[in-house]
Amino acid sequence: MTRLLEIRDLKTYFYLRRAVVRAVDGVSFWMDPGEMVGLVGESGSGKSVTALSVLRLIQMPGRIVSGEIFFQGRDLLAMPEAKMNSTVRGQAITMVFQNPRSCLNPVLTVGKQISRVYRTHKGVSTGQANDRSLGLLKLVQIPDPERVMRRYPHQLSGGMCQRVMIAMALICQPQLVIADEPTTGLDVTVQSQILSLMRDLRSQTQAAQLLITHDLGVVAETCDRIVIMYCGKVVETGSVQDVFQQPTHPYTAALLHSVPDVRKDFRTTTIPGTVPDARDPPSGCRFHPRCTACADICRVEEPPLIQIGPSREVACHQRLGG
Amino acid sequence: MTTMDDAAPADTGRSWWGARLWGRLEYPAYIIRRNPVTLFGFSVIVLLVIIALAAPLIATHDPLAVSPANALEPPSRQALFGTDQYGRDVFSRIIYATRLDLFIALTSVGLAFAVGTVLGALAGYFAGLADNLLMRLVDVIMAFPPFILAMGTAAALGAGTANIIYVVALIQAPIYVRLARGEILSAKERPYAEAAHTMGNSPLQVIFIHLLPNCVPVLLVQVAVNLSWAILNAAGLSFIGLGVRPPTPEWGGMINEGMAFMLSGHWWLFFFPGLAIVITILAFNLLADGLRDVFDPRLRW
Amino acid sequence: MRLLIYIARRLLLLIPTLLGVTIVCFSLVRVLPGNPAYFILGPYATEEDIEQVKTELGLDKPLYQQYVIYLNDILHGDLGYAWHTSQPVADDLKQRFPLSIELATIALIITLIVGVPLGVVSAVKRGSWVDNVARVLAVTGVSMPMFWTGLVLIYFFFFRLRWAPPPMGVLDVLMERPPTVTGMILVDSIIAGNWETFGSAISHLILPAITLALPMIGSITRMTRSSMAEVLHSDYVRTATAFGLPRRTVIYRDALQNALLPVVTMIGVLYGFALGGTVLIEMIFGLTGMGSYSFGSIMNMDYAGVQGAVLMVAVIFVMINLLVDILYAFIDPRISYG
Repeated sequence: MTRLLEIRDLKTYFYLRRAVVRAVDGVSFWMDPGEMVGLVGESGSGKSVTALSVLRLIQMPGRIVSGEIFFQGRDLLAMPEAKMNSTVRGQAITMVFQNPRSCLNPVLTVGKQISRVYRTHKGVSTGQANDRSLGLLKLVQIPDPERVMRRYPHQLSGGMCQRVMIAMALICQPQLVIADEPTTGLDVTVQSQILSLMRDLRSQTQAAQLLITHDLGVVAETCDRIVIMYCGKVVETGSVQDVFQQPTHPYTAALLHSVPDVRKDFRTTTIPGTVPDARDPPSGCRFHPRCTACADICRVEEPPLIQIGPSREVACHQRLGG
Repeated sequence: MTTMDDAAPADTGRSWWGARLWGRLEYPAYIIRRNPVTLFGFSVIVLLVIIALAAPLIATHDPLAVSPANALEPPSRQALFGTDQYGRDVFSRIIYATRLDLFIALTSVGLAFAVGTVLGALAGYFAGLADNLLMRLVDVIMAFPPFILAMGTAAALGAGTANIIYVVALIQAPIYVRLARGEILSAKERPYAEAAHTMGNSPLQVIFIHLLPNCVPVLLVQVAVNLSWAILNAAGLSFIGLGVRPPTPEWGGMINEGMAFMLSGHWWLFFFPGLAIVITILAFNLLADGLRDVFDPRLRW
Repeated sequence: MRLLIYIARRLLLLIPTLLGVTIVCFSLVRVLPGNPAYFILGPYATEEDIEQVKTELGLDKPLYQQYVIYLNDILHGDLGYAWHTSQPVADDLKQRFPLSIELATIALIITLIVGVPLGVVSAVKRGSWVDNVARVLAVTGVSMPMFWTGLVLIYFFFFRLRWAPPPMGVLDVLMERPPTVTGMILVDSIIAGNWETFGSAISHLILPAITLALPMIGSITRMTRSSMAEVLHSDYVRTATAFGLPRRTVIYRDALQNALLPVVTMIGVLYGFALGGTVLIEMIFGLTGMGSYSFGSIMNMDYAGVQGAVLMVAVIFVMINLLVDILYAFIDPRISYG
């Protein structure tokens, strides 16, 4: 069976006046159809840039430098722009962004914004597109959808706007929905509503979901597999169960320790040091300045991502529990 | 991200005073290095100031010396920009006019800035009835197209250099009132304003020592823009006969005088003073763009 | 309905502004130095003459009474008597104003037609040669004093090339004006179906209109460019792109519509600039509009004329700004009419 999505050695750099920011520097991971994968990392680790690269939404001064992104066997990076628009964006792969209120066009009604996506891709009449939009708004549990259709984004709450975004993301029945920190900028109570909505929708729509977050708790609750990024690279991947029970990368372990555990005593440890500057990453393993298991080889040689089990990969010279 | 491009220059063993001076000049230097067009605008302004100060050294003739025998001579080696209907040297007149035009621009903008900013800051801090009245007054002044108001008041005050300065200041002051008021309104809600207040500073101290200096960058961009407007308006008023009186050389007035000789082909009379205006205003505009670029990256274009 | 309430509210707010405007115009003559009676009678008047004229003009009454009289007069359409044209100021303005309005409007139309697309292309093709040319043109445009640009244009297109008609009047010398309906020569020509006068008027008005438009094109191009550039980097434009909407739709629907909102607010400012500019332009191009009227009044120290013209321009400017605000509220759903 072909993978739904396979990213190989993706590099996306930002060319500033005096420096090159290597936001994504050789990322590889894959997803199967219908799977729910959590992409986790601290801010600045390159999660969002990876997601934007999949849809080729990187704006100047950023550029996808090299790598391959296969979606159902087709290389998205080799696809002409027009074909991207007519077959991939908004249809096969859709995206839900953070800060939903600023992601909707302020001068168009919600109904118009949803239905025009459907109309553009399916070539149906306005009436049909409106009916379909109404159905989607009901699916994402928006009360009084007829009224909401005629509203402008500024007249809706952040949570409502995110539901609208999700409706937009699902209207063309995509195979993959990328959710880039979909709860950022929302109230805490609304956050859990949105997440549970996304879980429900997954079972109803069969669409795979790539959930980008820095919240390990969310991943534990909702995802099948987890991909952990650090400073533009993937450091560890595996099923949520495996990784959470037996982390092999010191960074993963440290990350897990920094989450308060309700069952124990809420005690947490922080990771010493700060996230390195992506313009000038450390030599060898990028985590080595902060790593407790750092050895000489870690300072000079970059560890490759190696497979250590079925769907389990890690990039570390000194893997834990080895 | 981009603001971190330039690290502070390493200390290269300058003396203490040298280091202090460098610390003062570093930021402007940084602005100019970032953008060569700004550097160009800035250099032109420096050059204009030098021309204004050293006018007697640069001018080849007495700007007021009449010489009927040499009237309406085209540009030549003796008279770079030709001579006017009285045989006066156009080049020398333009050089001397630089003095006057820059002086008018600087004093009128300075006046507008001082009065407008202080009133705006007080109004923004204290609010209340006086604030309301001031804002209504500003609304009224801004209800007039600027040049029309300038023309009307200049007509009422009578021609003359001092009056031009008042008039040009009058039409620009409302901008500073609004800007300073808005800045103070938002600044006074911030914690540092509260802190300054609880430290026992009087309201005036809070406004002028703690709050206003933080608004300077925004105001500075406006100053650069307004200097160019000031020159346009002052020259425009002189052009319609409401400003500087002949025979004192002034760019707008010279264009007015030269206009009558244009259709007899004596183009140099009106052309060169206008060119001087274009260059000056262009320089101020480029400088303003550069400042805006640095202080407000959102407006970068 | 809410829009109507908003308009009504704005109209009410207009009253204090207009009162303020009248106070300023009133002050122009009475409070500032200079005695109108002296100006009316000239330097050879005797003390008694001046006193008599002062009484006639009501200048011996207290200021507030004078203001009430003045306000009452202008409400009845009496703007005083302009002695340099020997007729009521109101009649002068009626004859002179349409031309200025026409000129300012043509200039504004040229500005919008040229400046907005230039700014859009400049922002979309950032860093291209179009962008660079547009930026240079824009900053040069705003740096040129129009009383000079006008002269340069006349020198080249009339004196040198003979393409343009002489800068005198709005029609060729022997041509007869179409019957006055609106007072605007182009509109009246169309109403009369007189294409000969229409063409002549166009040829006379095109250079002044371009002169007036150049600096405005500069500022609207800069404004459009920066506004468009900001919008193109906005989250909602990214959303539209991410959902596979064609680039044309993204740029010309999502981005442009939002980018034009601040540009609309600028129309009022530009119109004020154009009205102020007509004073200079009409003088250069020999047009008899409000500008040359103000200029003539100033030269003859005819204060009633200056006062009337300034008041008229201010009222028109205030009205234009009101229209722009209403238009803005109409097109931006985020404006709450409350």
